[in-house]
Amino acid sequence: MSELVHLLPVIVLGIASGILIGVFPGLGPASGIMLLYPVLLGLPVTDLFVFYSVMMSSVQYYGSIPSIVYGVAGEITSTPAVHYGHAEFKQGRGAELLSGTATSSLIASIVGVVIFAISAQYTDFMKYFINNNPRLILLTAIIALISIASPQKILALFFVTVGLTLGHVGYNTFSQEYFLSAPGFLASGIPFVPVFIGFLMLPEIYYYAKHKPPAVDVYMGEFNIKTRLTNLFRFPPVLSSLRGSMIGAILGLVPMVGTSISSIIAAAVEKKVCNNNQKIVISAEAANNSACITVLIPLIFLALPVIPSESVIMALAERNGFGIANSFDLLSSISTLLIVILLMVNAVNWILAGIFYQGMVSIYVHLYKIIYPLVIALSLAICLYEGLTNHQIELYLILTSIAVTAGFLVREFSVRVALVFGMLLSASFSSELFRFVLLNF
Amino acid sequence: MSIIVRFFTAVLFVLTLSVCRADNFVFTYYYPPGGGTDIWSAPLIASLQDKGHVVKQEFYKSCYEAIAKASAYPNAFVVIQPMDISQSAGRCPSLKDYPTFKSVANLSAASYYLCTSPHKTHLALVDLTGRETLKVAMSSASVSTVSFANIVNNSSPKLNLRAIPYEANQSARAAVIAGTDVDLIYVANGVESIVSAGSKCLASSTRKNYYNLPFLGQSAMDKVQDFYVTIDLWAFGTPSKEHQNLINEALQSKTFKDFLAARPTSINLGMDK
Repeated sequence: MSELVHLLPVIVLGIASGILIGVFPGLGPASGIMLLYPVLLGLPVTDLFVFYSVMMSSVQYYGSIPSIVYGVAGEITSTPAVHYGHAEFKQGRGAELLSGTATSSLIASIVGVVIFAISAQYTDFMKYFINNNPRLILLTAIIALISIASPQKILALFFVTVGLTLGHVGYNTFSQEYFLSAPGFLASGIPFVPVFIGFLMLPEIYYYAKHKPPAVDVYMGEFNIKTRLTNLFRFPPVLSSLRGSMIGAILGLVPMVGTSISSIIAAAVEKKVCNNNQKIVISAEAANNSACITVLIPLIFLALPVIPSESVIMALAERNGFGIANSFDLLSSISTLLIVILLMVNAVNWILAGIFYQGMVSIYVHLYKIIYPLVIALSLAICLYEGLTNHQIELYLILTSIAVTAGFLVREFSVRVALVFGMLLSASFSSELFRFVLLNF
Repeated sequence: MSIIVRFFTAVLFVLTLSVCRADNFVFTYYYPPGGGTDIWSAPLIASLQDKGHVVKQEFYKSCYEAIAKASAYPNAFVVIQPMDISQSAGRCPSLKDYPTFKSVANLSAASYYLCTSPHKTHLALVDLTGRETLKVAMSSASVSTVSFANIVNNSSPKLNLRAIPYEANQSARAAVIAGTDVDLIYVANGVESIVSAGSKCLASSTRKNYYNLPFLGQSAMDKVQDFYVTIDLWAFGTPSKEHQNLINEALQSKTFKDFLAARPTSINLGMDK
């Protein structure tokens, strides 16, 4: 109980971030974490993972709201909600659908949590991945999937290779040599913050800042708590929710593509099974939510980030002492707590998203003019802050300028993700490869 | 409202946030968590925390970054292996560029131990020179690399060992305890945890050691010196009297001594300067 009280500010921060990231298309979990960088730097690893799990679980509840109401897709996961959900909304069934997706997300979170809890009981199997060869295979699979998942596969492959090379810049602890660097100049490698913010985040935020929400004047249902509560407790299509949850839970374990394609696959399966717009959206949203919980398994068990936002949180966690060597210790100490927190948080989000969705829509309508420019300014301020505290302000300014320019030139988001992910996985990949040679030849 | 006003509002916001997380002490590291610098600063951190101080640990990939961070705050200290400065290929050559960086406290000195994996306890000293090449997990810290290479190169008969480097001591320990890739580990810290997990130690880098093990370089006594690793706490300039006193008090505290009692393989601990 005392632990829960201690973690309460982190949980509240996670839910609040989840609401903002979900409601404002284009922000995304990775950018959200980056915006909170100075705050998160001070958190112990347990608090960091609790925050991340809460945020990821919350985002899914609110991400569907602008997609259904305005037909605006913040991420690829929202595609079914935009395609089928917005059509339902225009027919005047928005209120029902928003409550239904909230309930299906709750069902999905329970499925995800159960799978997480079962996995935590079989750590001996997971420990197999401490060995070099299976870990190298996993890393290679992630790198390959980064390219395959992109619509521009060749370009993504090129950028992931560039990322792997750039990630190698700095002092190499194995060879004890400096690669494209010297003591005092890029010794720690190319800083992550300006690359992430400049190359990945700012071009995306700028795109959404330019697009104002379309005017929607459709009846959303009475603002009557009783009616909304009735809607919320009206059982959603259970089979659709469960089908979506299971698809999401399994695909969440697939590196790089799990969370992004789970909702699309769930929607496709549901269309085959019943071809009902509401059920399709409910299944897709359920898939999203369960994937967002199972995606935590490779991260917390094996210190292996499998989606972009995990790579950002992993960079912070590593800095605060987390790695493959202590991941199982951390897991044994927080798994029960995390399960309890996830269940509680999902219940809170269910109520918030399922009843007060009109409030969330108002947040978007009233704040979108301010929020995007503020995010851009805040991102640049964070680059500045990091540069100042690291005594490398000139380097950070130059890198940010280069990264922003390059980011605007490379239009495809998944290609930009490929470079950033390549940079982040570079050290692990090269050391596993080096050990592979030593161990096997 | 212009973008400039928004920008400065954001700067103010970020700076406020950074002030809000002011800690009593910040310890910066250039080795990954779970390694010697982390392990040996833990007793000091525990005793500072026991007295109600907030201690933040920050791990960086290079010495330069750890120093830059430590020199930016009066309450920040770098935890270093002093050998890293003296060696030409050491991890911390950039420390020479900061003449005002100096040692505040010596945290520990310890011997290295060569121990088997829990699955390979049948291995004995004689197997080290056998036909089969044994794989030895070790952290990629330059100190252990130099010590290990010195012993292997000068040994006669030749030790048939192949070093398998890991990013951190903790990853090497995880590989030897939970994995099946390696046969042995060459390690100076966390030895107790390896032994309690079922490992058997065969030799040490010092003639006198806690487990009374043979000297690893015994076959070339004249060529191989005893090898200890030490860990220090360094500060930029002179730390405030308040911080120095708090560190000295913590090094003498019961919490610190109790913590050390649980780590008998370390020697020369808590020697403040």
